Amino acid sequence: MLIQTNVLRRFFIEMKFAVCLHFLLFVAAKAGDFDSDFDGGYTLSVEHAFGAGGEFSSRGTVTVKSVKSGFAVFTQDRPLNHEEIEKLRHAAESDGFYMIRIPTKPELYVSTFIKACSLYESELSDVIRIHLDQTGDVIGVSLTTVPALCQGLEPPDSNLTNFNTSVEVAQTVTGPTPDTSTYLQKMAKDKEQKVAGEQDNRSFFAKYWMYIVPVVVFMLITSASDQGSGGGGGAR
Amino acid sequence: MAASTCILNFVKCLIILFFVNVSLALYADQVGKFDWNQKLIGKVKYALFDHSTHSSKRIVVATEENVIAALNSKTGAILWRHVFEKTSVGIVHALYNVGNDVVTLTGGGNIIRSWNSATGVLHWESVASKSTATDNPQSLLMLEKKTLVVLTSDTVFAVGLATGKIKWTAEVPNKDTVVYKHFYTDLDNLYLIGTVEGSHVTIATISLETGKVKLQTQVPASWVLLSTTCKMLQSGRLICFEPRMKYLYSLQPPSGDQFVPTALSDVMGQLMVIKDVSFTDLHADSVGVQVAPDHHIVITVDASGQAKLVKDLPQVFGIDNLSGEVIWQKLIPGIVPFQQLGKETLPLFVLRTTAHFPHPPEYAVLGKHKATGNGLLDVFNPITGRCMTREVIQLNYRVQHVSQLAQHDADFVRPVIFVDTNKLIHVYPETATDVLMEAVAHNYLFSADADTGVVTGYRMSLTAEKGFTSEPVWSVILSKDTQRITNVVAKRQNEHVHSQGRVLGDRSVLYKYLNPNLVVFTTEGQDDQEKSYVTLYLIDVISGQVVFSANHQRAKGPVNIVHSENWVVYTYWNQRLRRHEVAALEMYEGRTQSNTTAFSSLAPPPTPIVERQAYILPYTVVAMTTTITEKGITNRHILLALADGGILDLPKALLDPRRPNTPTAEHREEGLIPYMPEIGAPKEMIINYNRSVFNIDAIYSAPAGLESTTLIFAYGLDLFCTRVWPSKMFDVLKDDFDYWLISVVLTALILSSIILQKMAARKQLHAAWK
Amino acid sequence: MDEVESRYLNIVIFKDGELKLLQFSYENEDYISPIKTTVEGKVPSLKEYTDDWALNTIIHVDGGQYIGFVRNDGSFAVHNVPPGSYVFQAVNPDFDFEPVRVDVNSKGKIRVRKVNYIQSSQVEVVPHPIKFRLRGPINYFQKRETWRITDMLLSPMVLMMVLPLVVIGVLPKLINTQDPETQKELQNQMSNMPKYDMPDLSEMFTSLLGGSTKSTVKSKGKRRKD
Repeated sequence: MLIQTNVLRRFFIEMKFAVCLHFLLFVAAKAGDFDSDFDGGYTLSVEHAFGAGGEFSSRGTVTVKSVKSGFAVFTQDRPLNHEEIEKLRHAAESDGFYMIRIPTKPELYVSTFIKACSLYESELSDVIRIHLDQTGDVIGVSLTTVPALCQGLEPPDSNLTNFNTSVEVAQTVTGPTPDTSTYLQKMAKDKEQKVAGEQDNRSFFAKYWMYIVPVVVFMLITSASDQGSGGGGGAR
Repeated sequence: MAASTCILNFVKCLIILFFVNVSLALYADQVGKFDWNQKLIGKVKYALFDHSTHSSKRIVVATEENVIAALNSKTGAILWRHVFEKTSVGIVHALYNVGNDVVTLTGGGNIIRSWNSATGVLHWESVASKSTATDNPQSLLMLEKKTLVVLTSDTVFAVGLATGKIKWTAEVPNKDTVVYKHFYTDLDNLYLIGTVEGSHVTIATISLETGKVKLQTQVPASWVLLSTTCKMLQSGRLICFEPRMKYLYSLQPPSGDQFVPTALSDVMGQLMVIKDVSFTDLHADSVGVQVAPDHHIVITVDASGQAKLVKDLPQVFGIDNLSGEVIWQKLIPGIVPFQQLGKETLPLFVLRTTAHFPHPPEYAVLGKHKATGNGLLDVFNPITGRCMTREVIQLNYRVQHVSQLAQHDADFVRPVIFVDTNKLIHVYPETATDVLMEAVAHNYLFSADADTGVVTGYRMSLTAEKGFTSEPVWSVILSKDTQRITNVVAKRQNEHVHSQGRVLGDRSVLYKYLNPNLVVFTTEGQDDQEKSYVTLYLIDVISGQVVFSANHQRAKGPVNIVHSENWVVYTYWNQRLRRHEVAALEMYEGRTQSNTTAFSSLAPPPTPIVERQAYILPYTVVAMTTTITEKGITNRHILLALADGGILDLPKALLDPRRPNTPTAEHREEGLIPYMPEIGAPKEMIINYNRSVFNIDAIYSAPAGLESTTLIFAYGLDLFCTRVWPSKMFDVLKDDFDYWLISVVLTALILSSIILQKMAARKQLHAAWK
Repeated sequence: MDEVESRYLNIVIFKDGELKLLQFSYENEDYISPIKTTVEGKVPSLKEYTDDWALNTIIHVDGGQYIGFVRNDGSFAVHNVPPGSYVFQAVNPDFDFEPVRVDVNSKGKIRVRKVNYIQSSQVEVVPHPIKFRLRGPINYFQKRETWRITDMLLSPMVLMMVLPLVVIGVLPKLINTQDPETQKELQNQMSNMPKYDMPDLSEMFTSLLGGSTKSTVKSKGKRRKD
């Protein structure tokens, strides 16, 4: 506290106008800069290749509508042509890979792969999962097909032209922090209860009935059995 | 009603007691029974014989580990020791003998402390607060004047050696332009020698009584550079070496007004090279540790520092883990640590364990050659330390990445694979290519560049022209602003997970997300408002999927990480609230298990549910690990090396992110401890009791042959080795088992049954006769 | 709170129709040569426990970032402490001291307060030259359970078994020896006692608790039966 006051005092004069304008600046930065904390929509292009080492070509675009809700859609540029289907089939038959990548910065891509056969046999139905960091930059991408199996199916070409893709967006979450407030509340409540407990002015009987009752019951039983035994003796 | 809550409270207390008090504490009579420790001092920098008494047998030393200590000159035993700060603040710049005291100069040249050389207790200390800390402060002891003079980058000051009072402090003249590195004295004056690059050498005369500058003279020296090394001889002559033209310049201040140049070639052969005589002590610095099944610890150490003496090079030690005795030590000529995933390492591999008689056990250390940078592999027998090959194997490529295969070859050797800078794959032993061939299909590699933040995954493949190669198949980009990758932590390869799930209070099962290919990456950086942050990523290193990531704003490293089973525990410094915190993450698939047979990263289960919680640590953690047992049945504990010298053995149940704030009956059924924000360090959980160990670099844990037991080895400046039983000794008789009582009772029972049998027989006989 | 690292200044200029940010860092003023303070204090003497306590006690600031050493009289000083907030801890392997938090402001002014990690905003100031409070010797060990006769005798199970025995075995004797008349009466009772004794035990209790009148009435009844 002390320290901060000092730091603040030191720069009070300079900060006077800066502080009030800071907010404005923040807004400006938000609007102008894609990197900062935002929830607007934007698009990412997706490229793909059949077989590892294959040439990448455009597959389509992912439009992220909202980062917060993770809502995004994929739109395919054009249907796969015959040549591409052949490449896919070849890759699937030779246990090859199908790879996708998303450019993030110039010359930098995030990329991933799956077995070509699983894409082939799922008839191009897949899920692209894009991982964003806390400020909204793309850090990674992953791909799964539905189902993710290779059973040796041979789907017809007609089912291999259009992707049936859903997109998931996951963002870096805020790390956990120690939950002191709930604990303090709980402690305060416990304390209250304790105070209340101390002022317990119920009657003696109300407080200790659970001890008194068994003793009384015990005594009653013993005296009753006494009588009973006496009676029993009489009957003999 | 009241009674029931009463009972519930009691149960709650019991649960807490049960967990927290899993009485791991030792009994007082077990001291030293399972553990040993070694207090060490590091590589000696200064040493002096103590003259305080006539019969003194003490040597006082200051070391590169920022330690001063008094040693018994006959036995080498440490009589007393002080550990200074690990940072530059704690560097001991000078060590002097003054009467009954030894005087040290630390704090970058402005803290002078005087220690009683017999007891080691601080006698006096003083600080020259006006003096700025420097890397290389100079000091001069004048015994007859009982004064110590210290020169830092901007000031010179004199300290009285009787009480430690600072006599005077003077700013050096023209401190902005002149760099003072040397000084000498006669009885009255102090002469500071400063250099102005490319121009001249200046000599300032300062009164020893008052500190006033009396005179300043300049000697032209156009050859002088900031990097020029000069030496002050005992006679007061200054000798400088100019490396470009290989000239020695000498000057006899204060009367001399000209440097006398001499070509080095003229004096060659007349120079005598005096070698530094240094004591070296074992200092395990970073790097790898393995415990051999036959109770040997093999550690590779790297004496940090410059590689100037042979002794600075890494050595490998074989230590008996029962006694701490060094059984063998070896030097691998030319080896230095190499960089992998942004860290300097000397990894140690267990190629073959002792379990394959008649094959001898085989371990290997990988480093790089100091001169060529190529890989250097030493394969040795961990029992004897002897090299198993004819000589150290010189690889003819630079190793970029190294890993070990899970499969073993026909000789039970688990091969090690190396990826060189051309992405070609090599294997040791070379005969194991068939194993590699099999492994190629389902083995993937990854690399992480700490500076660019790019993590790349590779697939191995076999091509006709190149042999085994690797090609990139995925990449993740963790670079951002000033962010750097600081940690890459995979799970242990040999870890066994006994239980696939966790039984909840309602008898349903929460299945663990057990991905063997999950690796934790952490990055540290500053955001655009210069606030530090720490981010943690969980990445599947086969598919490149970012499984989870969490960001801690206003947090700082160093981050300690433990990654095991389906959980991650990590510590960091909360800058805003100025405290250490520990966070626990646990990954679950959910109530159903997607694939019951084996985990596949290429057909992964849905993104796991990540339970997370954080706690306050009221202490500083310097190293962290987890217990590991052979079958994974035993409870897990986390071991934390604390800055105050303790090693804390914390049940994982305390770092369970499912700890409820307000426990319900189901939580109690599950055995969860109610949430408390602070995780204390009860002294009973300090496993090294009062044998404090300082400056610990890492803790290594290894499963013992018994399921209940984990072997623990903490290393750094000091060494400490012990065993822990996280679920108590359930498969061993307790060490206090009363063998006598049991055997006496048993014999008594047997004897009495025999006697009684006899007696009964007699009685029967008598009865028959009646 | 405890903020020391915001060392920059943002100035926004509205020029040519656009906002511009100028960011100044003020390191040259505050950062190259920050004020460094010496924090002093005292550790209570442990002379009564050990001789080498001063050697074995050190002061750790934030887990050893800065270290202070203790003199024979228990006083210590930690030098070159830059502005900030630190936890000072007296470390001794055998004794436990209560840590304190020390705030040093940018002018080198020192405030000492109790450590409260959970409510870091709560300030409970303690006097400046730190006086560490000894919490006591540290016990690292568990007590071994030794077998003692008293432990066994005092265990509830044993008590539950032994006490009734005592009551049954000893109390009647006490009564017997004291009063010959009751003895007679009891003997009478014994001779006439039916085979089941449980009720009679209770009778004995009730006779003891409820006084002799009841018992005489009962014995009368029994006699009548004869």
